[in-house]
Amino acid sequence: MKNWSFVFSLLLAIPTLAQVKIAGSVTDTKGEALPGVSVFLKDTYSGASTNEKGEYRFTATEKGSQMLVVSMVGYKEVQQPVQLDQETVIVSVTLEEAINRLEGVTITAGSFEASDGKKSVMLKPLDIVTTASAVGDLAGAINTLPGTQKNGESGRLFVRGGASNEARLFIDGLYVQNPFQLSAPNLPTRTRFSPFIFKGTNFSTGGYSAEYGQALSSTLVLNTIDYPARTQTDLSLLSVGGSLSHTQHSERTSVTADASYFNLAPYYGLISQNVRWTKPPVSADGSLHLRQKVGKQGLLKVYSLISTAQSALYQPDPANIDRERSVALNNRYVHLNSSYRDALSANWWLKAGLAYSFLNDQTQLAPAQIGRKERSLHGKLTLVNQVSQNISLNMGAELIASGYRQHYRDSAAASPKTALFSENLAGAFIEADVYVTPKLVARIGSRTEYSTLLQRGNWSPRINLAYKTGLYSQVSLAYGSFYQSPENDLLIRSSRLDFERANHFILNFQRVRQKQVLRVETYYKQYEHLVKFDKAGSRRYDNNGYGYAQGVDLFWRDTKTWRGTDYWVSYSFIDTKRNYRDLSALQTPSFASAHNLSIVFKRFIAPLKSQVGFTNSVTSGRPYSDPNVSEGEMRKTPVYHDLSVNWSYLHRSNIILYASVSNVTGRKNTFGYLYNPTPDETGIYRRREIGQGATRFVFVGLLVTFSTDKTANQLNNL
Amino acid sequence: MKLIKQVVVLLTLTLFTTFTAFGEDGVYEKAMAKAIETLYTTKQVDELIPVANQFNLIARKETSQWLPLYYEALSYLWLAGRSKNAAKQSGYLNQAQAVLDKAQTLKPNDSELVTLQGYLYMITVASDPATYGPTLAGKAIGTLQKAHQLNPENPRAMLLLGQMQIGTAQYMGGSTTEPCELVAKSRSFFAKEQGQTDLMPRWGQSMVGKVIEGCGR
Repeated sequence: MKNWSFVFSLLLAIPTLAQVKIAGSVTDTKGEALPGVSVFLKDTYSGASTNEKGEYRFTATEKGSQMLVVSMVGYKEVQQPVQLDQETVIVSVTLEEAINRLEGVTITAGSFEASDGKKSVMLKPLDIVTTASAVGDLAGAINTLPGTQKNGESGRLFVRGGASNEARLFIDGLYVQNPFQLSAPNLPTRTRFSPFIFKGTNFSTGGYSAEYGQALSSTLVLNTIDYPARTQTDLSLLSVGGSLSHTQHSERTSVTADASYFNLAPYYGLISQNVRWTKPPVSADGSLHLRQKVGKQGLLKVYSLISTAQSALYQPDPANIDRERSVALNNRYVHLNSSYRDALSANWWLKAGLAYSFLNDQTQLAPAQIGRKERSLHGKLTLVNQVSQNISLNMGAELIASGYRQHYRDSAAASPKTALFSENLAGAFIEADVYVTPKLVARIGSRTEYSTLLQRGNWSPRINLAYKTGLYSQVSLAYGSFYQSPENDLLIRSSRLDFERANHFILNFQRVRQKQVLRVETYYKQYEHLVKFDKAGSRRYDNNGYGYAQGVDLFWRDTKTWRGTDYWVSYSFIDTKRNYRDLSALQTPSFASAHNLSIVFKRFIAPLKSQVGFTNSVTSGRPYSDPNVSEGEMRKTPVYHDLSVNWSYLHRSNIILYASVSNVTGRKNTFGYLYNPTPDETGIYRRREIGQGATRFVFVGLLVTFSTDKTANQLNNL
Repeated sequence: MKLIKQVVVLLTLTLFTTFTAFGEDGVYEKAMAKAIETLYTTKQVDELIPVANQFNLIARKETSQWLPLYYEALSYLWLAGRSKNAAKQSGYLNQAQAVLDKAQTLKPNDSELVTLQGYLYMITVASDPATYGPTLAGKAIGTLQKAHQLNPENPRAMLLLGQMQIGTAQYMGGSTTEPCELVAKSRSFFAKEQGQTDLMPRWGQSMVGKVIEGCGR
């Protein structure tokens, strides 16, 4: 019997002996318990997860040397050899946080990103077209963001005290020359490109990447849609024209062809205008967008736009405001943008791009006639290397070859004066993103350029730091110097000019939590080497101009408080002065208003199948000089106020009706004054207001989508 | 005595080897069955993490099997669907996508895996409709249509495709007749699955009632 009991005890003992208890706890580097961590023996079924206290416990039948794996999403996996020769083995492990690009710290100083790929964005692509005041115009939507100074008579982007030419637009990384439509003096323009073709925008108000140069104030980087989801046809009937677009989609190739025609004559016939049009604006656009998948990961995108536009009107003559002069515009524009990207290996990416643009403007400012022709070719090659988990490199080189020719005639009978230049600008950049810790990231970049026209080179350092101060908040710092060649009109007059320069210093705080975004940014911008010339129009052009801009930008967006409601508030304060161009002293430029406030509101009302929204913009007075008071004393225009509303209604899944009205209150906004060059008999310089082309703009559109997929619609177009 | 000892040793050794030999095939099925059971029955959100970990462990051992990856991805999807924290939610969704990518390289064009991809898009859209709606809602429908074509008898593809189409029809105005019929049709295919004991996906039946409710309106 004794022996039998031995046998039984042996039988019972074998499993207990064969099993080893493994237990312990898992903590993070701060000593906090980590629940939900997977702990197991490599290549076996033995394992468990940690509980709320970070403790785990399991039994294993394996013996001898084994590998214990401790793994959890967001942390670096630990593999630790264990010797399973005791009944109980205790192993406690500390896990180090892995760098998580998606939820971790990011470079944010200066930049507003709108993308559908990321969560923590300030603006979504849809916002560009659902913002009431924008009427589908990119710049119109961007003008509701902080850092911009709204100039209602221009429609262009004025960023942090910078003139409109200081903000540059890029499509798929390539320069876009003349992104705005040609417009008569003091009448607003629109961006040439349909917002529907972009999947993401990155609007930077300063401190941007070394990849971008030739912009003193701002970059607006647009990325076209990689690959459309399906074959569909879109038809838009608008109160001012219409467009037809068709996308043919297959596994590896997609082609979109688009034709649009706009004519404002019927609209101007219905709604009275403050401007006397002889030929209301007419334009026709055609575009072709090709995407081709190449190999496993390669993608080629080619976008081309051909556009022609005409308009004619009467405007007060600056030589004598009691008279009117005839103004006529005729514009042709071609833009071709092609880009290719592919993975060279697991860690190397290649991006190559080629852009061509051609502009031919004929402007009549009676009696003068001005013709402009501009061509540019931009080639760029970029390599991205993921050096290690913590370091990535972005480097590239580019060449912009451009030519500009201007014909000027004092009158139709006079012989033309021609001025022209051609320019080759070469640039190279290298930039490293270094994750020092999961909470601290540094972007250090360097850019250099050489211009054959200026016969000068430049070098600009760029530094960005971001530190995560809490689960939802971070602080960023940015510094950089930025160079830009003087404008075409200056380059044709003088050949001895240098690059203009701006230095940016930015401090940013951002908190993104549960669909609420708070951003506070303060900056100081220093302008150097700005072009100056004297009023008399002598031949003295130099780079002795200078200036500064400083201010605070606030942004608050909330999609959480009220269900179905999305609103944002942006406010900018700026103090800026410059002594440049023909100014004789340090002055606030006429395009810079000290206070800019925008409130954008959108609400989806399900029972009405409608989205309604409004934009309320208020801008403090802009400075102007009055020749009736002593020189140097600046006056201010009245406050600008605009309330725009919009409404979109989903009739059926593929039919959308859209309407918007700008300036519903009918306020008369004044952007500045046109003074007579000579005083009248009483010694007073008389003036005329520069106001709005029309009190209101009413826009109505019907958008229809045809697709085999019945749920497809142009909602993403609105 | 010596004899008994020898017998015992022999016996235990045989027993042991039998167990080990059995383990080579039986352990996978057992471990999977147990984890699947927990996945389907667990009520606590937090318990889904150990379940996901368990599938991950099995997937690492059985590198040629796609089902452990399928269930690991499904665990993360349900975690994302039930999680309230936006940051966590997107973390789970990214994890689900990474696991699903691995599974799809093992078994391309599988109706169940393609359905899961569509389901992932659906949950992503639900997590933040304003951000993902415009791009992913259409993609979800397209993916589920593909899953339905790959296996017209897959009830999960029918159910989710129907659910998506009903949702869009109600939101935008349109007919729910067709998608409602599709969801109703899934019932009989769900019923066929019942009682089967293999490791294939069996979830979804309990959702049918709720989706059909939307059809009455």
